[in-house]
Amino acid sequence: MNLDSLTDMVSNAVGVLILLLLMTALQSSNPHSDPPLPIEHQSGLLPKFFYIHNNHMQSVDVNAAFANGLLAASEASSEDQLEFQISADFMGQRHDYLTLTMTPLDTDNWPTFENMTQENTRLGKAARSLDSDKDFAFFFVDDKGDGISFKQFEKARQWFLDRGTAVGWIPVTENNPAYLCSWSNISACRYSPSHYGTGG
Amino acid sequence: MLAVGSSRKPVLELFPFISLFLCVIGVLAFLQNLLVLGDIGATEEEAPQPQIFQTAYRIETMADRLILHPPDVDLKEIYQKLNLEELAGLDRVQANRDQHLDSNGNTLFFEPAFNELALQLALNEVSTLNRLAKEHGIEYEEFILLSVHSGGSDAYHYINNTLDVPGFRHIRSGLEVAPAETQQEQTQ
Repeated sequence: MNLDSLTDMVSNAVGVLILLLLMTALQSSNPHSDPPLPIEHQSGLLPKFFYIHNNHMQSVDVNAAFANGLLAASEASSEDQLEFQISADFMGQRHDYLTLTMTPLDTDNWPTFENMTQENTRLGKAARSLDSDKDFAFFFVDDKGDGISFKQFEKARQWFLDRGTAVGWIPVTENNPAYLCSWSNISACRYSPSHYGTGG
Repeated sequence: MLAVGSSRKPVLELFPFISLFLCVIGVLAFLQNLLVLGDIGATEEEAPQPQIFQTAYRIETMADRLILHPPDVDLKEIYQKLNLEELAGLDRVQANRDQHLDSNGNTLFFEPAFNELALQLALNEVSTLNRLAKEHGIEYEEFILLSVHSGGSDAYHYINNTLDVPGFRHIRSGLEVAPAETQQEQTQ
């Protein structure tokens, strides 16, 4: 065997393998060209509620909201949760379930997204208390027509997604406010997380 | 001293040649395996939970209008198993959709009069296509992707309520902040 044949064999083998490598690398660098699409789905995860109003956001204490709602329904008053004005209605044929309507109050004093990213704030603790295996974050996003709440929501959603926590949301307005229901089958009270798939 | 014009060629032993050759091949094969394994791992992490062939029928909701964007797919290619009667219906859906694809969506203004019939027709198309796919075992499903612009939230609730009736309740839906909103925010 002479040097020429050796060079031929080695360079051929190396060349073929380099081509294979390049093809594999190109294939793996562009697995999906479509952007991810959020699709709502049924889930065994429990919603933990947050409300976004412009640059401010607040976690919703559901127990306090229902306690206030029941008191409001019986025309008493309570100051357990001051961030929202709660009005309550008994719904259903037998008036056997309660629907709360939440209107944000005094939002200038609410925390911001930056507060949520800090561990020692009340909102930060509430956000970190979510167990990704059991809970998901559900946002009521107040749409005032200027896009500010949406921008805050996108940041908050990404923060939760980065932590492996599922997120769901619903835009709310004056005509379509945030609802909490003790039991209901109406669409406004179905809280679903989104999973991110690809579509055409 | 080396003789000028010597005709002596370098001699190559078989063992060093094979060892060099196998070494190069081994390293390259190892690198390729690493790449393939990395790709499989990434695919497993990215996989959505319910794997269905879902295609988005995107509806943009704005303060004064809806814009319907039917999926840009060849229905005849997907629904090859249909009978002639069903195929005729499919042709009508495809023709209707092609018309809106050419005009970059079907815009339905709320004022002076909202064309509710056009919205119902679009939802009916999705419902029918999903039913046919199910009946013929075709792995295809369209879902409504509501793309909400700021100011378009009441329109979102309107469509959500429209979907909450027995004829349409089986249609899956998704909700996103309209990509245009995000781009606008990023440039601000």
